[in-house]
Amino acid sequence: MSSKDYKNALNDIRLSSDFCAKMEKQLLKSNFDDDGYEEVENHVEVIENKGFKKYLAAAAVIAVIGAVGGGGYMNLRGGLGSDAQYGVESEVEEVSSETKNSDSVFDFPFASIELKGATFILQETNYGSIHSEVPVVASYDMAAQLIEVFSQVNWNESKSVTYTVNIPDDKDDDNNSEADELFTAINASLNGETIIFNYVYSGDYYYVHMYESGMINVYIRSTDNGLEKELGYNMTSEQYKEIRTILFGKEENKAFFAGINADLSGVRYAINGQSGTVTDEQAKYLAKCLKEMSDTLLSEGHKERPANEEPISLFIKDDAYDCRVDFYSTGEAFNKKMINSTNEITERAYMFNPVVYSDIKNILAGLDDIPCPVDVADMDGTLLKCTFDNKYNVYTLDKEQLKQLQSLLENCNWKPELYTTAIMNSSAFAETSFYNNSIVLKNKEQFLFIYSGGLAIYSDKNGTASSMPDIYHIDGIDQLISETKAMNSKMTPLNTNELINRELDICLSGDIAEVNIRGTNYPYTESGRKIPTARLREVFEGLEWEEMEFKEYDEESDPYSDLYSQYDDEDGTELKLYVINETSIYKVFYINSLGTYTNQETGRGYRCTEPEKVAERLDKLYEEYKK
Amino acid sequence: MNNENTALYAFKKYGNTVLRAAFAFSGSYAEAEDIVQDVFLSLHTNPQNFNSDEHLKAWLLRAAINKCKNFRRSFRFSRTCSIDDLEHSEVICEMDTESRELRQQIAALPKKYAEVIFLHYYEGYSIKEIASMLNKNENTVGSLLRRGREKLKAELEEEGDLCQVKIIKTL
Repeated sequence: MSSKDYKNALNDIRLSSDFCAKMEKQLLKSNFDDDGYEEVENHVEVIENKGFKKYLAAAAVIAVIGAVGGGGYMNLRGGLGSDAQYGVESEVEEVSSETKNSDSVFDFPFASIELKGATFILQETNYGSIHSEVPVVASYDMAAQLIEVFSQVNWNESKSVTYTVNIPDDKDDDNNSEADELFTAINASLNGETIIFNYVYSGDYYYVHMYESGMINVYIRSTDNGLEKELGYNMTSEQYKEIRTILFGKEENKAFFAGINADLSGVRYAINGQSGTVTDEQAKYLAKCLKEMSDTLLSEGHKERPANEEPISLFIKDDAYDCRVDFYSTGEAFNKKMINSTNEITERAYMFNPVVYSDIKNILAGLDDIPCPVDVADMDGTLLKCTFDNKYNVYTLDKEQLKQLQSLLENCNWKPELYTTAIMNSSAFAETSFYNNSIVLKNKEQFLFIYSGGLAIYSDKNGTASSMPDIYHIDGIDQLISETKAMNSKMTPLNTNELINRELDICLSGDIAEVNIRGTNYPYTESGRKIPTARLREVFEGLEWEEMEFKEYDEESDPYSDLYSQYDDEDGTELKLYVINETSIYKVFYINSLGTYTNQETGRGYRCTEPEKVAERLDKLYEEYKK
Repeated sequence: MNNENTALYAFKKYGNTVLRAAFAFSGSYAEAEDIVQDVFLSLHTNPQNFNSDEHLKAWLLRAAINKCKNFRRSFRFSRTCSIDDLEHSEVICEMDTESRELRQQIAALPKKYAEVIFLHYYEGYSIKEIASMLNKNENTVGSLLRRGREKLKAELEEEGDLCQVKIIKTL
């Protein structure tokens, strides 16, 4: 639809003056009662919404992990920046001839310009509107390298100018090369990337724009006589890339995170008392990981660092500043920066999703192949859930079978996987059907989820949100699947009642479980109520379960949409969702007041007999254990 | 930006922007108003530092998106756009027929499309910026935008109302 129609439709909505007056009155109160309002933004998860979609268990794990940081990961990256943001106060460099240093001056055909100290701005434009600007002041070394590249450029004048473009009437004529050239120029100025530098010399203003395509436009305005001139040149796109790399570093290695805006290749790091230098490949991974995630700048008063923890530190130096960024496993980063010109030291704290810490750690450790990191041989009371060829079966394994499975796992190639890759790119989920070719092992203390694309999520730390599971990528998944299939063929699957009872055994394995109710009359903000598991056990006693028709969720729907959509029923029935152990990665158990239980690891739904009784018992317990 | 009271400054400057965003995301006038209140009060309670107005606006939109998600989880979420809803809200909404019908379709859009459509069409953010704001990759945002447009177009076509013809042509 057109942006205009959309805007018009929404522009008709506005706040009433009464509402505005009330709000302004509230916002004017300077002595705000902190207890009066919940700390909303800092407790909002941004990435959690990726969970509970079609990636179910894996995503659920990640979602719970995502919630650990509890952060409103507001993106502060350069994309929305302005000159002021980067401390660029003047758009135009003014340099007198006396201050020129001949080693860093380049004789352009239109003027001799001192490049050292000139501010270059990398600007990104989308359909004519500027979306980001990153400035850099050229150092002496940069100037020398720029001169080398500029010396190779063919400075013959071209017709491509963008400042005063008139599209000729015969633009449609295929043979009109001038029109094509102008059209290309317009496109270049409206879309893509430009490096800009502006310069004043002897009263003349020079505005130089270099485009990705290699096109260079120079606009000159004389302050003496007001004369304006436009010039066009062409360098190659490779030469443009060289200039860009000299000034702004390799884009693929650049990170914008926790106050860092730098190429990380060659940066010193310290981890666990050891130090090293970030390699080009590690820089690429780090940049990719940090670009995918957001951070939140915390208030200036946030100074306290996590106790008893050695952070991962990056030491970044350039001509303008030295900085040290410490990343903590809690999802906090502290960026201590010293501005070289003034020796002023600042320190700012940021909050981020703790999965970033884990990724940084893995990247600096090398991401190489590792021996099989999981040990399932002693997993007592293990459930093995396999979905092969879209057929789903669940088994319990004896000692011998567990040993056999351990051996199959050890035959695969394992390497650490990055959370950001698993979350953001979902590259691990190669199959169109998420549940197909998945293997899930779990008992009361451990779990291992393996998905068709080779993503493996493993924890032997009880699966709580505070202990992040490890994630890996397995090569050789096809072999693992075919051998597990062969193993399954000799085993007897559990029936539905046995399966649900085993799930309940795992869910209710501790002494206490946390129960939440979601429904119209239950605020989301209310925390769960702690109920003895023995009492919860009684709720499910004597029930019979039947499996419901399986529904594969796609891009358009997910199990949660279904759950929520039930609340839109027009008959006015108040439906409720009971959630046991919501914060646990694999002990969570969802059942609604219709008696429907959905298993998040397999997407299968089950309905119990006597749902009214279950709902009544759960309501009663919930009320009884009111805080 | 007025550092003395960022929240008040933000409310005066971006109150309606957040309202429209919240409506586009939640599909409900009443909830949009609640979200406006929550967003600005949370900024007031927990002051943040902003580098520029653009940064402030992006923060507010991000906060509105998050609030909408919480509403959804809280079961207060309902993608409806009834006149009753409007009457119980203090939001002012011009009743121009064409805009109203288009607004109903906007309100009916699934949240995942509503976010990208609003950020792109109303706020003019690029796909890259939206990807950055929503923590999604660019390809995902691009396809959500495409599907959202198609869905909106299909729903408008289903209406079959003559007054929609003009809008459909622009899709």
